[in-house]
Amino acid sequence: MNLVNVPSGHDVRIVGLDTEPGLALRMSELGLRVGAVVRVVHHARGGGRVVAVGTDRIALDLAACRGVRLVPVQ
Amino acid sequence: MRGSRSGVLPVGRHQNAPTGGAALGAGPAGRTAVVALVGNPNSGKSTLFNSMTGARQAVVNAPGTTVEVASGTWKAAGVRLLDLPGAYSLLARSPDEEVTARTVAGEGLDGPPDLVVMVLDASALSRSLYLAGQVGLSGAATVVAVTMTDVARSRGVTVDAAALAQRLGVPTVVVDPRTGAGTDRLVTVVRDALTTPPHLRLTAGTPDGTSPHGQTADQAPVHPLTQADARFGDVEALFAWVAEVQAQVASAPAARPSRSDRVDAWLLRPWVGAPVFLAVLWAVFQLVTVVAVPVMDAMGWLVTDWFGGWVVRGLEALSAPVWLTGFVADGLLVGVATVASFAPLMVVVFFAVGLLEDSGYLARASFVADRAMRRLGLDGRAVLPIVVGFGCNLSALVSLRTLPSVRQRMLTALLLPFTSCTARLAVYLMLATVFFGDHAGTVVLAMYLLSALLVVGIGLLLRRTGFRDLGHEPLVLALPAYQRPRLRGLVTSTVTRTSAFVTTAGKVIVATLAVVWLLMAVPVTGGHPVGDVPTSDSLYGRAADAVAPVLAPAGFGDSGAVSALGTGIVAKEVVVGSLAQAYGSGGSDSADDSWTEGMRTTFERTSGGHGAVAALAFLVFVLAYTPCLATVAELKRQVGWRWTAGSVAGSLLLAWTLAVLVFQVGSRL
Repeated sequence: MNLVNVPSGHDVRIVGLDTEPGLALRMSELGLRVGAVVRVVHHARGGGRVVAVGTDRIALDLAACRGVRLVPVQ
Repeated sequence: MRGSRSGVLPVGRHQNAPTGGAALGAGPAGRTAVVALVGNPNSGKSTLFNSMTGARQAVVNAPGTTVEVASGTWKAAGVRLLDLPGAYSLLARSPDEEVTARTVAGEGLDGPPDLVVMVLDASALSRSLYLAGQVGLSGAATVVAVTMTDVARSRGVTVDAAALAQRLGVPTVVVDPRTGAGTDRLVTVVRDALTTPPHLRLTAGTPDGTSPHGQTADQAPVHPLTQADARFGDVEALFAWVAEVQAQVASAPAARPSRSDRVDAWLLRPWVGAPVFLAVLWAVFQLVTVVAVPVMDAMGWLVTDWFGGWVVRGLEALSAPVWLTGFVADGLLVGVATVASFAPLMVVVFFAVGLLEDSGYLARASFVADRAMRRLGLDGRAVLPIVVGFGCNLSALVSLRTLPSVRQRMLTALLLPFTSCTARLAVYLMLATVFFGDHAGTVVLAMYLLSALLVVGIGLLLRRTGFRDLGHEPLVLALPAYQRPRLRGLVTSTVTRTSAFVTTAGKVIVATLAVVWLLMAVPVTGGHPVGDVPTSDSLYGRAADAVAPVLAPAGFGDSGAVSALGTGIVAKEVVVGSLAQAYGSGGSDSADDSWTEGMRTTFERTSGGHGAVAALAFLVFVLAYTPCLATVAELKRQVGWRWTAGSVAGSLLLAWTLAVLVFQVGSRL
């Protein structure tokens, strides 16, 4: 499961970042790190998503969304 | 996780710095103390800088780079304040972040800053704390300014500043840079910190200074953040520290959508976001064309006609020689008028871009446009400059500052001269009407299509050659909350940036126009006095004669056409006037239609009977070569002389190649 598959308003937990190490580190620095719980708040054109990380909002394009492995939060 | 890239994380640069003794407002050796503002992009850092320094600021390039750093006098604190480029991390991923990292490490403009004011965005506390932790690891003396508390509150989060101060071990002040609230307290804190430099406490523990195990933080750090951790990019410890601090000082966010979320729910919808985005671009385009042009014309008139008239009458009253009057009126004052007429345009562009940026919309626009721009190998944020470029290349260049990476700025800057500005449109319309009659509209449309093709084609070429390092990284973009822009900050920033343009690019423009006047004023034939020479008898005319054969393969190897193209380097607006001067029967009035017949006859002659094809080749040349002197001056300011020279030479070569291609193919059809 990755960010592309998550409907708006759902909370998910990041379990992996499948992207090149430099970008994975930058995503982690922005709060998208393994273990973090994020909420998908918007679906945008072309597969992009906006996720809430606490009070912060991060926009990701389709390629970035595909690299974020997730599990649902019960 | 370990950072594996070649980032810059200067460690321990200030660890051995003395912990006191600096005089109030003074750094080592009695110099004015330097205080650096460090924070994430959109954290309110630059607004705070503008609020603290007012008009006492300037924009300079960081040493050896084209990354801009704003520097100003913070009078209330008696220090020099640096507004470092926004950074998410000191493990730099862009030249801009590298400048911030290097400055924090003491390798900046003025050596090590005496103090860092770490700007913590309360609405993005986690990533702000991460950067603060890195600054702490660098050993820099630090105080904290907490911003965006109103945005955080609107999202249901409160930040306990007292607990934060205790947890971090440094003075912490809540400020609102947009209203000035808290800045007096910040002044006091900074002055005190220059006397007794505080350092961030990077150990785990509860806000009261004890660890969860009942020991003081200093005695038993649960997550000791050592220099080695940072040096090897072991950021896990820092993340853990951030999580602990955040849990201790901030409440959990509300589950309900924020105001920005509700707006984004509309603006990020495909069928709403795209039309709104296009409407915003259209409005900016209108500003730089319809609104700015009359003001520019008025400024030009004010300097050359009104003020110039006074100066000329004064010089004549003093019986000054003709060459001196000509040099002052047609050389210096024309240069000053050019700069003065561009100043209102700069004001309009900086204000409009600042408005979009401060409101938070620009980040959304970049997100909306990113997919399309990436196909061209550009960042989504390049869409605004590219569109503005079709109005005015200079405006587009100055709006490049919204791109976060200097390499992306450079790439886009090199493409912008190929966007067909409205000044070129006058040339297209005139020649297309003369040579193509009823098909003039089709020719003009073709020029715009060619312009778009050049931007795309050259963009892709550059991405595969000099800009291979840019790669195709997926977009991950922090979206700031929507905010009401504050007029004061916008005006300050607009004035500062316009001043930077006038004082740097302006010098190049005035100096070059003085040289152009000299070339046109020195007679080589006809026994004319210096300063009163027909162009054809001047040094400039002789140079045009010499260059004309080079353009013969393009079908317009005539000194009149070359002369007009030469003046077009100064400004495309004068090309039609120069053609009228060259091909008219003595007069230089472009409204007198007789010159068009002269031009048509000449083009027919130089092209061997293919005048229309030669005219098309001429238009292609006008599209592809250097847009104007002001653009060159601004390009030099942004990317340096080497790239500017390459851009000018490259565009001339490309213009010549395309013109020759059009003529050689067209004349054989």
